[in-house]
Amino acid sequence: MFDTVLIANRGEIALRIQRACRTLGLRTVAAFSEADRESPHVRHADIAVCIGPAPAGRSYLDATALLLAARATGAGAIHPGYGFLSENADFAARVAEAGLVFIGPDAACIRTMGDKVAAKAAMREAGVPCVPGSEGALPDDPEAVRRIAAETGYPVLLKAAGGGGGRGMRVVREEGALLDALALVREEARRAFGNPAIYVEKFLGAPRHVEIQVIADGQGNAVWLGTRDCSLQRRHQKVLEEAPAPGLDPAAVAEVGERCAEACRRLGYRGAGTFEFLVEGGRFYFIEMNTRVQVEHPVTEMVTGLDIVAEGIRVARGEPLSLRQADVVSRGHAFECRINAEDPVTFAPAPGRIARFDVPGGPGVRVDSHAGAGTAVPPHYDSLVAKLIVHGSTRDEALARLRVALSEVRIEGIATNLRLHARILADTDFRAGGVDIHHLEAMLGRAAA
Amino acid sequence: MTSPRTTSPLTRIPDLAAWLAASGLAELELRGPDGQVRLVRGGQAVAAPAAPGPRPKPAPGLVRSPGVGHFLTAHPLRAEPLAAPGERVAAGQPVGLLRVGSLLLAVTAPCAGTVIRVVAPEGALVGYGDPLVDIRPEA
Repeated sequence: MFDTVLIANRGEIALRIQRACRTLGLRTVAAFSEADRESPHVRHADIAVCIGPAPAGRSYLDATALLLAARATGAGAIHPGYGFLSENADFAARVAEAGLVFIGPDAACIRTMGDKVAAKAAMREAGVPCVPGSEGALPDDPEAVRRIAAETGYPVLLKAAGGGGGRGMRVVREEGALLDALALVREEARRAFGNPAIYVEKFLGAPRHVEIQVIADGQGNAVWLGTRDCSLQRRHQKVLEEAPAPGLDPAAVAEVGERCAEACRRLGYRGAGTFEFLVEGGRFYFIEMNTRVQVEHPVTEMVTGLDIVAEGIRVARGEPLSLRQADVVSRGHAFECRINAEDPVTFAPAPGRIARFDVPGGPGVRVDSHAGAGTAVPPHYDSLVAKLIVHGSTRDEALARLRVALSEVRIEGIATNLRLHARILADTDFRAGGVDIHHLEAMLGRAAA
Repeated sequence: MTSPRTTSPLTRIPDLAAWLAASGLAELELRGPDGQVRLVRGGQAVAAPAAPGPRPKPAPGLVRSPGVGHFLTAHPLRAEPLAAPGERVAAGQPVGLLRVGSLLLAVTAPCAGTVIRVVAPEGALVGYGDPLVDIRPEA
């Protein structure tokens, strides 16, 4: 089994993966781009090789360069981290064909979960709750359409099969408006997408984003590690996450969690993964599964005391899961702030060189970051500079620790979103817990008005 | 392999300033991987902050590694090196090889010239951009 892991990523997650590898006594290969020569994971690697210039297409997204680097350095496995090639089924297949271990699920699992229709079908089979609606295109018969919409439950969303990005959609709040709206959307869809097929789905007006972390060994063992709430988003980008999701019925969560673990067993899933749900009225609706480690995995680590990245590497080495569901205990509460190099007003990425970086500390405070004073934040990649993670025995204690830690952070030389986090922390609704996915944008809109 | 920067925004500042003057904009800011340019209309001066990370000047005759591999100066089945110091090479001529497993990739001279010295040690693991062979380009 492999003893050398090539890290096919950069930034904080490359360092996080390297820490897990080194803890397990594994050697690491840092495959880095020209922009990341000074990164700490490059410094700590047993072998470090530059695989290409800064643009990701010629470095972190260049599958051939990564495979050649693995071959030349004698790596036995490739860890893709998140982003880049982490959910690329073809890359996972090429890694396996090269006789190497892809740290994550196999290509077939990635492919299934990457296809919205196939993923939903797999979830339904495992009993994971999905957004109710017509399973395919709506028929022409008005009676049949009425029946399907009523079964789905109002309000419903009419969606053009060929649409996307918010186009070709219409909310219908009552049956009286259904057929007129359908005719309209059909005509729009025919003109705009050349495809008049429409399907119907339950419309969720103010859902929360709740996700369930799983880990499985591909040998019939799978456990779920509790929930995270990632409702604080701006333009679909998560800003601040917490674990567990506050205010949910533990029995309902356990039911869904067990279904997620069951789906992993059925799929022969191996590695860490996340089931993302919209939650409204206490009910869970599956959106998608991320077949990789996520940015916000540390909040789950803080409440469970587990090392999710190390466990993912262990199962990739062929070891059975080291824990059973009964061993999984959630203690206290954790938050994570994503500290990004971005303009506080326009939110545009603001690359540059960090002149000063004061890192907070104290009980329950963790900072996952590759950055420090002197670090250049290149413009070629995402703008994540650091993750500030805090844990407390209660949500209130965690909030208090977060407030103090956030006040200790000082970053100079680049613009960051630190002030945004301070504003969120001062928000009454956020402090109460359980805000929906529109809350942050509404809050920003109010402030701008 | 360093990409030639044929379109530095600094050479286009007069054009940009003219466009800014013709437009109704008060300020124009351009950001690229190597720096940023900010033009302010009616300001006292044109601000052009330094690039965040000055890039080393590409040496014209330095052959850099096109990728990852173990550097070889000669084909494994031949004794004589592909390009020995003092030897004249043509542009595009192989001056070394990168070995990745059983794969051999040619490293070629970017220009015609004379080999001054081989920089990378024989058999060393090299990465993208690492200097391999120094060539004095022909005038």
